[in-house]
Amino acid sequence: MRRLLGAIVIGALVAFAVVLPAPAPEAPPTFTGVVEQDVNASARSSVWYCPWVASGALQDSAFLVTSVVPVDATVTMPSPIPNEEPDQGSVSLTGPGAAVVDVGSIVRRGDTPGFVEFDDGPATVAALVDADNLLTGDRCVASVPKVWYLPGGTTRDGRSLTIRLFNPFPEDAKASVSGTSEFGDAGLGELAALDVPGRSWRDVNLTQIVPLFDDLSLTVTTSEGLVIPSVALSGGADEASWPGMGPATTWEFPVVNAGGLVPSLVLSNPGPDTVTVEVDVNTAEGVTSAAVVVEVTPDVPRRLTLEDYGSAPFGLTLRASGVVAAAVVAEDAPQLVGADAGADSGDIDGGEAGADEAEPPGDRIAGTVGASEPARSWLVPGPGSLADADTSIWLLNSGAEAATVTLQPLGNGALPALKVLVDGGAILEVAAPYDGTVAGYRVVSSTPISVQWTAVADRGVAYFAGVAVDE
Amino acid sequence: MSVVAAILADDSAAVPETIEWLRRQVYDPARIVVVGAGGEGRRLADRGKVDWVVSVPALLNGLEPAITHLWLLRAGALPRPDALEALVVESGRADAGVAGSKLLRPEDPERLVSVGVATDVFGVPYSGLDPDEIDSGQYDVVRDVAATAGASMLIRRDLARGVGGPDPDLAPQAAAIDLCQRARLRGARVIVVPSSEVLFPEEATPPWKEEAGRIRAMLEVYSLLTLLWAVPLALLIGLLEAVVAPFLGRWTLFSWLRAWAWNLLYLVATVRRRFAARSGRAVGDAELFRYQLRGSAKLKALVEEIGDKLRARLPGDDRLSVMTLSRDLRQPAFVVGAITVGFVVVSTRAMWGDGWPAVGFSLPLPESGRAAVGAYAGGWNPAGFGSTAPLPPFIGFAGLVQLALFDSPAVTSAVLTLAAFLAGVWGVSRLVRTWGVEAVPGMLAGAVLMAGPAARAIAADTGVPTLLALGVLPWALRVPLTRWPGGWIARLGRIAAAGWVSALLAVLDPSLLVVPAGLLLVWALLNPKERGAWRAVGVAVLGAGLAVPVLLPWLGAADLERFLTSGDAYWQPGVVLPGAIAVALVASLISAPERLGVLAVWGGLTGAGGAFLARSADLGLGREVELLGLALLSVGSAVVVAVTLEAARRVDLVTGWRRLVGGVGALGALAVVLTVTLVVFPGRAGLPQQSFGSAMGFTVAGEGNAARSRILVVGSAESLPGESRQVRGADYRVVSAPMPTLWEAWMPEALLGDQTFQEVLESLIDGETRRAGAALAPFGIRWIVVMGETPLEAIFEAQFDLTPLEGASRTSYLVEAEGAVRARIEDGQAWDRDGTGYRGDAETGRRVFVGENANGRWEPGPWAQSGWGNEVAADQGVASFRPYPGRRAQAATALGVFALLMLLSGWGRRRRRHS
Repeated sequence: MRRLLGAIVIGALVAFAVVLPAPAPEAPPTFTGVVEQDVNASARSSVWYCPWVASGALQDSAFLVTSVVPVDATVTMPSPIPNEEPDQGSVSLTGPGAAVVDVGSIVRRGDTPGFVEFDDGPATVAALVDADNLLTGDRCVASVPKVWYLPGGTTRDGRSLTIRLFNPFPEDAKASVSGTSEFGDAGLGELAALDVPGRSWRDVNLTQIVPLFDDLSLTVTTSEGLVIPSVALSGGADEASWPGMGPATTWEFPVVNAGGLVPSLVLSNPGPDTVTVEVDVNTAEGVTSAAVVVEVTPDVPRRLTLEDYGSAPFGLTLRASGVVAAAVVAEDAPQLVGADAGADSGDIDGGEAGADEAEPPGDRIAGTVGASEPARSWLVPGPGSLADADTSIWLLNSGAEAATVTLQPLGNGALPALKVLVDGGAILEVAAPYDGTVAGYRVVSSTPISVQWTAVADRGVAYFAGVAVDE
Repeated sequence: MSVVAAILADDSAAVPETIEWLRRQVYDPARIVVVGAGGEGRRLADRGKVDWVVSVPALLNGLEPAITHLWLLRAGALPRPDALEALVVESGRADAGVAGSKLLRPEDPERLVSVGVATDVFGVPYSGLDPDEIDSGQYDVVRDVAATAGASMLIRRDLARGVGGPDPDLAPQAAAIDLCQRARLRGARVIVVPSSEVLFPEEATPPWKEEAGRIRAMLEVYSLLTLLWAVPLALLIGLLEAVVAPFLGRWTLFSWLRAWAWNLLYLVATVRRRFAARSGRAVGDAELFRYQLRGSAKLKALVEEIGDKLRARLPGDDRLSVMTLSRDLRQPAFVVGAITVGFVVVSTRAMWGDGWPAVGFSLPLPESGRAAVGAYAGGWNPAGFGSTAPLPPFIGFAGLVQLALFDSPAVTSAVLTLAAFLAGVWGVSRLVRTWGVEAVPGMLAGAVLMAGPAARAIAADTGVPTLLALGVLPWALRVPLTRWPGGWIARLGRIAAAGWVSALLAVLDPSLLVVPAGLLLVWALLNPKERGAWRAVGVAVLGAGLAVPVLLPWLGAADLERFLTSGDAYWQPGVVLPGAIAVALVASLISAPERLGVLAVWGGLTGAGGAFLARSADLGLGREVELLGLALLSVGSAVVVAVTLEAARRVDLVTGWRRLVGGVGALGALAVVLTVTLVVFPGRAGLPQQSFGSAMGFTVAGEGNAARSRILVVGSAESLPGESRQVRGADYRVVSAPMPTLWEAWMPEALLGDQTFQEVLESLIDGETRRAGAALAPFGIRWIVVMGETPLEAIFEAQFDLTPLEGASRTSYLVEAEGAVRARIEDGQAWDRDGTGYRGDAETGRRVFVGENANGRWEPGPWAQSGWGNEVAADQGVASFRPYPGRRAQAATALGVFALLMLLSGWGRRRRRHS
């Protein structure tokens, strides 16, 4: 009997033990890596990476820093010599404020990509490179994804395209650069595994590798470590530089032809399916909706050569059925305007067809990335800081109702703000004349807008994207 | 030759009889003199009509010129009539300086007491005689010896003057050895003359006195070169004996301490005597070594005693005579026992050099046993950023053991594991013998206890304390079950034994405290009519109750709920082995004879209950309960295996179809037994292979003292040392460099430093800074090691001041920022770790930051909280935590209670033996 009872109890215990459920699995981590900073400036400390900076015997560079709040900013430029300490400078802003950090005052050794660390925010940085026959620059980036898109390049005759992979981190990075051209895959096999040592950078002249491509849109993927890429397009004198970006379904470019340049909109489709893109043309008078509708296939970038819409400056608003990367590259190239002028379905004919005319030859190039969405608050580092160039701030209101926009100059001391009205669908140019006390602007609008600034001079033209501020 | 017979009157009562026997000598001594004993000696001398002198030197000074020899006799020595004649003749023939007699027992003159003495280099005598050996003339040869007994010694007068006679400060045997050594140092021969017979009883001198005398004798005669190695060795051998002797029922520690203390006290006098002894030396140490034994007589005696004890206790064997070695070897119990010992030794071999493998909760013991004991006894818990949470009792226990084992963590780990395995195997065999299970099944069951599926599961979970506790558990069951003795002292001793064994069990794994009482209750319920079973329950309950104070201060300060619910109790076994155990259980339930059948039920209930507990995560129970369940399962399966194999042996009782069933069950049991080989090959007692050594060992090679800093370890929870914390679902640990130790395995509740650190990690995840190094350095973190897949790795690969380390076995980073140390003075100068405190250059008027959770008991004062940490004065060059006096007192009480229980147990055992 004892055995029987014991066996029953044993059996019951074992049965209970078998049916007892496993503990609920632990919740997985709620993050997969560093919470990447948004492309916008936000109210916290941040790091902004500026790959295309150079200061030497013939060139000057500057980090254009702007902040809404009081901040301490540290500029760090890794040394090209391994294991050598980086060059550093610092600046303190009593926010809201702006300052120009002259790279040459810190170090002069040619290429000096760097990064700026802010201990608070919102704050942002733009980089400017200036020489006797050169004016270029654009906003810097804070977000550091593993995949970057850099549309807009070309290796056609007369143009040199260089990609810079900047690795400011100690860990060595391994990156691959691929590209698409008008012929499909660009065949950049030798760039499939590039080593970028820690705290250094690597420049690749794509014109030497894949020359004579009219269009070359690049994708940079890092398999180990992180890099911040940037491209520079030069025609021998002036050059244009713009950073890498992530794709989006909407893009806004407040101005694409400032300085009398001929703009091209280049679209690159990173997705698997063909994407339809509608392009609105925004002028000071208003908007022409869906002025162009194009299809962009995944394997071929689409370049839309944009003729002047009249002679007046204009901007663009894009809407896509899928994510696309977009860049505007504007060149000072001679164009024959007339019946023989090559026009494809994507061209926007904004002007009267007339007798053959040859524009005077020029070699100024500008390029920029757009804003993926409008915002109410913007930081615009740089306007008003260049003594020998005409700087303007461009506002694009892609919405229906008019926007009341306040432009607050930032620099040393309190400066009076300027209020303007931007009609729905229109763009507005606000001149930002040189003022030794001004190094940037804060732009606040009643409705979401997008902001850009330009610097125009005989030696070169530069387009700079503004940086939205998270609310 | 003219001889003066000198009676050394240390036992004055025996002097008259000695005088009377001296008068019977056929070779008349020229004079008989009583030496010493003051007035009583003089009175006895007067009564015996002999001379009296105050001391041997006085006698030597007053000797007539015609006297050639001095015959030294101890009071009570009864020389046969021809004793002196034999001495005189043989010493003259051999030209010996010292000649000694053969001693026989007065009450039984056929029994030998001494025929010359051999010693080892440490002066420990070795007679070479068997106990109660009969004198058949087997030693009747005049020969050179290391020393003769001091009871009867003929010494040449000039030699006596030279060496100054026996040392009056020494015990008799030591004095004789000392005298002979000093004589030999002067070139004299020392012989034993067996034809000179003297009746003299075996003496019972306090052991410490003899030991002290031997030490002094060594110090007097050996050269400095010899002393350089002989003295430390003598110290160590004595210490070893002191450690081992309690297990043999003796206690030599205090004697050992007293002997060395006496020599320290009398060192000056010893040095004077040394000068006198060595100034007239004619030979070197080599001559002294000539008649000495190789090695240590003490160690040899110890080993023999251990062997005798083991042989006496081997289950199933009668007390075997050591003389029939071949018969021993043919005994199956001996064979299985030898195999078992070999199995245990081979299964734990990997630990002998390096201790426990560093993986999971299996971590090396702290460098200092004293620090471990201090930390347990109210000191600072160094896990994470430190706290006052109590450490597990195992830490204090291991620290004490470590102190006794040359403060070596590796040796301590190896000894504990080896001892646990041996105790476990032996314990099960003794336990099941209670119910008639023979030696071979018992030992195989013991192997299953320590290395079977459940034990391997404990080891795989790196439950080292529980694994060691398995070795004690069968004894905790056995002690209450043994036959209840008569006499209240013996009974008290039995209860005390249950107490200290339960205490030892609970110190190793507190959750096992109630297991013996619980299991014995189940046994009693299965055998309700057996008074012995119920009495065993009572004894076990009392034992558990007595063990409770031994768990202080942990028991008083620990969060028991957290202890029982931390982690998840969910053991996931395979199918095959549980199936084999089930087959064995069912077969034994069906086929085993009555008593064994009930035992099988008990084993089955124990195992099934253990399996239930081991999978009780759904009931909110944690890792400690899983380990408890596995321990029960281990005991249960061992009992089932024992029963099944024993039933298979009982061919006379198990017949017919039951025998077939039993055979199948035996196959199942053997299958389980065979799996213990899985423990043998790796040699790590079932513990997993180390992983932290290779992952973190590189930190030692870094610049500076690695121990000044910490390591941040990230990865899955199973890959991290001990318990871990989480930040947004990702696991991490902060541990000491270069290697975390066992006292860091268990994490206390998060305090300010832990919370602040978590916030820093969150800010890194949020991308608020890319200078993780600068953020981590204030916490003393100098390295980051990635042990497994974790999103935290992506955080660290994108930081400006974390340098990835090439060549490390795991992804690792070095923090580049300054000040990545645990304790530093204002100017950044780092202090070294010292136990749980810190030590550095004393800096008057300056302050040192101590990177531990803020607590006002850090000193020296004035103390101030600095952020999450502490600031104390750097004046004294040390920063330490002031322990809680209450907890310290509790720890001392616990130790005292344990010692008292052991003493009571030993006392009771002695009384039981003698009754």
